[in-house]
Amino acid sequence: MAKLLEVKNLKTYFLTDDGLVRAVDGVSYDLEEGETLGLVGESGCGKSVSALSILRLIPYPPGKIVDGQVIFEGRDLLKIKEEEMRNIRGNHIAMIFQEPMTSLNPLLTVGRQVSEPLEIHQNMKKKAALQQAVKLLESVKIPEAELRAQAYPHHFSGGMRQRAMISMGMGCNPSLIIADEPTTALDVTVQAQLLELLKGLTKEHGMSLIIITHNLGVVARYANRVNVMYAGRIVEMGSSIDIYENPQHPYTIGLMASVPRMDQDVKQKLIPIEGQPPDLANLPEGCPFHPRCKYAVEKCLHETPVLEPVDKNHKKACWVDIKSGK
Amino acid sequence: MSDKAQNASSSKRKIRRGSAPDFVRRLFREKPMGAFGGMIFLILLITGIFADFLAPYHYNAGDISMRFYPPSPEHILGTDELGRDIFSRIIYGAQLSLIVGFSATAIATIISTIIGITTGYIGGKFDMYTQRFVDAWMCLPPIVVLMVLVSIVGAGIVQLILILGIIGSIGASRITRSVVITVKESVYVKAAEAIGVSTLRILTHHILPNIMYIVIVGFSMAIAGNIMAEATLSFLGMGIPAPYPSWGGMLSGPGRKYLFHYPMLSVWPGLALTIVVFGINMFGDAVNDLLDPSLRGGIGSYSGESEKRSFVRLIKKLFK
Repeated sequence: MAKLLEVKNLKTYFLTDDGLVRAVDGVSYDLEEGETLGLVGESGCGKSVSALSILRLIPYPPGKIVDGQVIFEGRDLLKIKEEEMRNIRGNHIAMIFQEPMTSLNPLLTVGRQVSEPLEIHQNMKKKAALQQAVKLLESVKIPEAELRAQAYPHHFSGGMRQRAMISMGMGCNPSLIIADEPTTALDVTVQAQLLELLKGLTKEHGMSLIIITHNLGVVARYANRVNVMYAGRIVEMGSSIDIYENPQHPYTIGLMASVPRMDQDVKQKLIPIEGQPPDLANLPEGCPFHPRCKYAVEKCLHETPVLEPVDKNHKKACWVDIKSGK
Repeated sequence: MSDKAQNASSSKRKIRRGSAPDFVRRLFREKPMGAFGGMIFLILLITGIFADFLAPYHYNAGDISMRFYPPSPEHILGTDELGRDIFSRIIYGAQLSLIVGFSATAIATIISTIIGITTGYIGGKFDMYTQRFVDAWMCLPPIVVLMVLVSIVGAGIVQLILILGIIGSIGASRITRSVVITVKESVYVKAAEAIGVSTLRILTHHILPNIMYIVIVGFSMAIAGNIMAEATLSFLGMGIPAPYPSWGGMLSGPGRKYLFHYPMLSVWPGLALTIVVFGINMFGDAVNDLLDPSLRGGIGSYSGESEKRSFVRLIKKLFK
């Protein structure tokens, strides 16, 4: 399989009143064609920013992509002109946002919005694009699509809106879809439906998918590979089986222990990760996770760990070998 | 039921959407005062457009021997100091007010929307410099600026319209800008950026429709202000040159001179001006309430009680 996306040493900083916030600090990963990648981490660890950086949608000021490369289909997206970038957005890379209630324009009909990328990128006429939009809405299982296309977003439920957003993303047959916490605002039953739909559609069209989430269950079920992020860095990456069966980084271990599992004893208590998420403007020296880490050793206080392979395709950024405790 | 039958029935169904007749219905049901204002506005509109047919005499046709005639069948509102028909002059004055009010407001709205959208959306240094200029401009008392500008370019309808339009646009751009900034932050604008919509298209397709209500409200409010401004300038002798009948001009020259001899000379134009400005303001308020999405629900069609009905109930309570 060919590499679709390669992110190399991506750094996105925000200049705020509290100082320099290193939201994404040297993130590297790649994505194969047709693969589903999960980006996991707690709130504010730089998941969404790293995704927005791929599309160059970081508002400047205060945000800025300071360093790195994003190589997509052989081109570095951080170096191309704004017009070319615009051609990539929605056409080659689509993004699905986390708030379906607000991500549709309240004053335009749903059909009009779903047809917009078609008009822009495929030079379709308004009428043809609208007809195509109806087909797209049907493909995301919206009943009576022809009628619904004339409806406004407030006629839609949350799940329907998110499905409309998905159909909007699918419109131009992009090779990559970035779903930024696509299910946070929805009911649990709708969440599953939606993810099944997303997975099915991406599989059908051979698209790659990046799912950003803090829901480990979602990742386990839908992702081939997982990147665990903490304080703007990837602390562990591997196949979803590696991450679930054999977590190596103390943070990943902590995450796993803090969510219920089907195979565990019902009475077993969940163990939270102690402490607060780090202040990105004021990170501790050494490994950013050391204040909350029960495995921390002297070296963790002074030196920042780098990603090192544990296995083939499984990497972690930690000085301690968990199993031997050294 | 078969799928076909369902589809057939669904294609006949229509999604209900806001329309112009719907708006008028809501106006009358929920905002009776606004409807009253709207009717005044409509009368002004008709009077202005058909002034040539409605006025019994030409505005400057007078018989000096017929001066200060009291109201009579020939001259409904009497005649002025030169024997001209006041009624006809009021009608032509309406036309003038309408032309100046509409054109100046249209210019102001277009310019202020362009300034507001661009500065609000682009932001950064461009926004800062433009807004500091607006700040500085708003420190100047408008009437002084108006008088200075009029004395530079000279009196006349076209000059007046341009000056009022440009002056009005600068302050109004601030309101548009503030709304644009809130709309700009919404996720759907981010989503539009993420599907590769160009900046111009975002401005015209995504932001403009969402700020349209404030543009329309600003327009309806500014008309009254511009009519007043024209009357003020004409009153001060810097507006429309003499033989042409401006309500402000009619109030000042002969109106003031003969105030104690023949007060009707200033009462009629004054009354016309008051009613029109009041009506347009009421209409503008009602349009504001009906179009502002944030005000919907509470006092709109879902409140279960219209202004009129609650008024009736209040009266009944008082007389119980």
